[in-house]
Amino acid sequence: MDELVVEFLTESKEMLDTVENDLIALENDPSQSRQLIPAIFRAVHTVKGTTGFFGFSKLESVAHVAENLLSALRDGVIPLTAERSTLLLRFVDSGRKLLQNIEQCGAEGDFDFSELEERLTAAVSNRADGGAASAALIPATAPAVARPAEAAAVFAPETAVAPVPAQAPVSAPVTIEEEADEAAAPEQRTDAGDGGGGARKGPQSDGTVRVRVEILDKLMNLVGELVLARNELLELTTIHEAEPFQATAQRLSLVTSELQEQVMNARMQPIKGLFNRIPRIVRDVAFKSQKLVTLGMEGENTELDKALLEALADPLTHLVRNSVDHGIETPETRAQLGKPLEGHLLLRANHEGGQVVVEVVDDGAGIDTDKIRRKAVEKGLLSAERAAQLSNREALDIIFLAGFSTAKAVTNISGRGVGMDVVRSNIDRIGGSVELSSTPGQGTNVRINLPLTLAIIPALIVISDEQRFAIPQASVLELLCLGQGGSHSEIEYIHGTPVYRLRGKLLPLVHLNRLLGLDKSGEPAAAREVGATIVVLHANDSKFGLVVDDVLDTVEIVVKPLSRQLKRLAIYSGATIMGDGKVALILDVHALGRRGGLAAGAREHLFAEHAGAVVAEHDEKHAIVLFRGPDDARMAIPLGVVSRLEEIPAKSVQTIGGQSYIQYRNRILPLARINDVVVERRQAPRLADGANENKGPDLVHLVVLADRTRMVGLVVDAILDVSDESLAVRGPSSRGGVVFTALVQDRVTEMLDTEIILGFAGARA
Amino acid sequence: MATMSTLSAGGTKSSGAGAIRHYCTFWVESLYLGVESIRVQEVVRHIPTTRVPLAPPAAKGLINLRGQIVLTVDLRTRLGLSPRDETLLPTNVVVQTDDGVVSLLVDDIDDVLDLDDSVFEATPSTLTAHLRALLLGVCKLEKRLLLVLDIDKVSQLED
Repeated sequence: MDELVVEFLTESKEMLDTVENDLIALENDPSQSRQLIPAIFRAVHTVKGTTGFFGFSKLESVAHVAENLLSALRDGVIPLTAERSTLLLRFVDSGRKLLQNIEQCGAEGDFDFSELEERLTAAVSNRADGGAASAALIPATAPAVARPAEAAAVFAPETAVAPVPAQAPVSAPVTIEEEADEAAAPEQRTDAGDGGGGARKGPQSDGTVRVRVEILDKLMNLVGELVLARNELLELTTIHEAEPFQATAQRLSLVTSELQEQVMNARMQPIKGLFNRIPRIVRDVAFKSQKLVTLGMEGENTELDKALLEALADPLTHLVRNSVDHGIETPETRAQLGKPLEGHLLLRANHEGGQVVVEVVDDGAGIDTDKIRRKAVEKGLLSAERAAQLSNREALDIIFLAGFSTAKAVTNISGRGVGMDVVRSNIDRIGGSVELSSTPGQGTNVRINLPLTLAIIPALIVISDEQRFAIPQASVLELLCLGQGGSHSEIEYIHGTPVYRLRGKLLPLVHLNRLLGLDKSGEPAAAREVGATIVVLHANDSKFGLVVDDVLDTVEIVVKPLSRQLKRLAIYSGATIMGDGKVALILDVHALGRRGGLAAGAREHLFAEHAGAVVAEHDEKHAIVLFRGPDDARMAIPLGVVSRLEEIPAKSVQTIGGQSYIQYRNRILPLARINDVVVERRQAPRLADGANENKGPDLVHLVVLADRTRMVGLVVDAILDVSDESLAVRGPSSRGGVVFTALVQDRVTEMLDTEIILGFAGARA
Repeated sequence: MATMSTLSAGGTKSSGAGAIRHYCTFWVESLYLGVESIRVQEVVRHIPTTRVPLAPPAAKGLINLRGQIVLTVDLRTRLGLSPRDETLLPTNVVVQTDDGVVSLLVDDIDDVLDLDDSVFEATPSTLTAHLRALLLGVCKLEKRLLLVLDIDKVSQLED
């Protein structure tokens, strides 16, 4: 396509985006009219001018009538009403449709916009009608400073609009207003160049140039090559030890890393582009469902890779729709509940520890976990017993199960959940994760964690049958070496299915060589397992062990796509070139889990695991960790949340601001003390605490608890046992922080609330 | 192993009787095969391959072609011929197909031939259906027949 036309398309699309955003901002805050209406007018005028120049007459003609309407609005002849605003938004939609068609077929196509044109024209003339039937959104004469309350009032229904009792203003937060101002500014710039067919003059030289995406992609590929060449060179430095060579290689390595970072930066785009689509969605859904919604945005300048941004668009849209449609209550309901009439929806993006976090927060009805539990049991996804054992957090996770969310019944729960499995699988695909938390009656928070980029990732290199494979580090939980002490360090077989006892719980295993059909040796399995390593992986909701011959190293790999013939195998997510120049395949962890036959039972298994229920289903026993707390109290927590039992030297504990930490596996592990977790009925003097710390034992016993994002070390006096107990004889909670008491080994034992302990992780990592 | 460097200069020139096509020719077992040289990216000697478990048998593996990861297809397997003697290192004929760049493993490379379209004929129906499906046609040379491969079909790995 002609480069000029391409530029025209890009520019016109941006113009229409601006028009849309400004219109929505204006609906939210009519006091902006003096700045925004002229800005909208200019944008539409520019679109009209350039389309005329290129001879796209349909777009020109519809832009022309829209411009007429805007001109009248600008001059204050007629007020902007909801109806007129809707018409102008329809113009934006039509314009987009035409542009899309031009992009695809080079012509406008046979769309008919005469009805829209007529209505736009009518909207200019029916001054009396519009002025009298509906109060003006913007008074025709002097633009007033309308308060939100007034705004709600003036959005009265007009005759032609669907019979909605009170149309909802989507009140604008401050951030959008600023956004709108910013958006208006470049309009003024390009305005100078309009009619010149894309010729740009004026203050456009603000230090940026437009670069085609292909060029960036190409650059990224080249940098990938460079990284690979660098890796090869570094491998050579181990052979050739000449000083100058080493130094040069080192410098090259540094420059390469720097270049890699910069090119990655160049591909970064602020999330603003994506966020800007949201006000329109919120407006439309809110109008339709008769809700009042304020939209807030934070961190629109957070940047992430273009490819990720594109992949995020659909899930985010879905979540926003969900929030407005089902999360936020109608104004009447909110009034009854004593909440502000306007629901608040917040989009928030920020960088957190090498990841991008995007959150969708609403203050709506939240999700009733009891209903989810009931539904899950009804659907046969969980046994009633297990459902009851789930923490609220785990119950919320059920929403993401495919079988659960596609069911229509879910809509009855609280409306949430339709397509949530799709949201999760989309995010999974780009290496991210989704978490949901909700307080019934107060709202829901959906949190999406994303990697910064997809092109270069850290990966664990493993060997199976003398061949190297790469596993994305993000999926690796831990590594276990077989054949090293302990009574349960062997792989066991149940009906030929290999399992491993990992901290008292059975971990399903998959042999990589058997899965890939590499195992043709015919050797008995046991002989090959000596010295093998289990890579514990998590995929979707399940956890499994991958048995490999050896583990080499973690390296940064450049992900290269596979040819189509091999993509069909759906077990490799790509390939990469290793330091020695040979190719290694990247394993798709999700596919491994599926191929290993884990998918079916694994999910429920996960819930069992979280709830601390035992794997064996026939006897109702619970795997627990028993330990001794202060005052010789016997306490326990479910084994499922325990990631490790540790003994650490007392002097490695550091205390900052009353909170203790240790350095643990390359991270900072917050410690929780039992006295901080349980709350005494009678507030006992806590003087002893400080003293204890000083003259305590040399070793501190830790129970390390972890869920997907949090990890906390619980300091206990002694670890007593890990065992399966029936917990059938139960008593009420003895004090705060204790879920219930039970007879364990003939002694009363307090079951601690793991959520409270995990809460010590504070801001989630 | 002649004319390796001039392969990419292929193309179609019209002259007298019909169009002249350039064919890159090679041997696989006893078959004399050709690919129009405009489709050939390069010819390289044996490169160590990384096998791809679970892939169709004809997909021999992946090679690193100056940073580009390329799938290799063993023509012996693909054409249903006897497996190659392990001491015989195959040559990579790297071609551009509908499925991207693919490297064909052949026993031996031969000349580039300029052939008039008049010597080209549809594949005789007496050939096995499997082989026929992978050929575009046959060029009648003076001494022997050149089988012209349909590399887009070949690269699909399965019929």
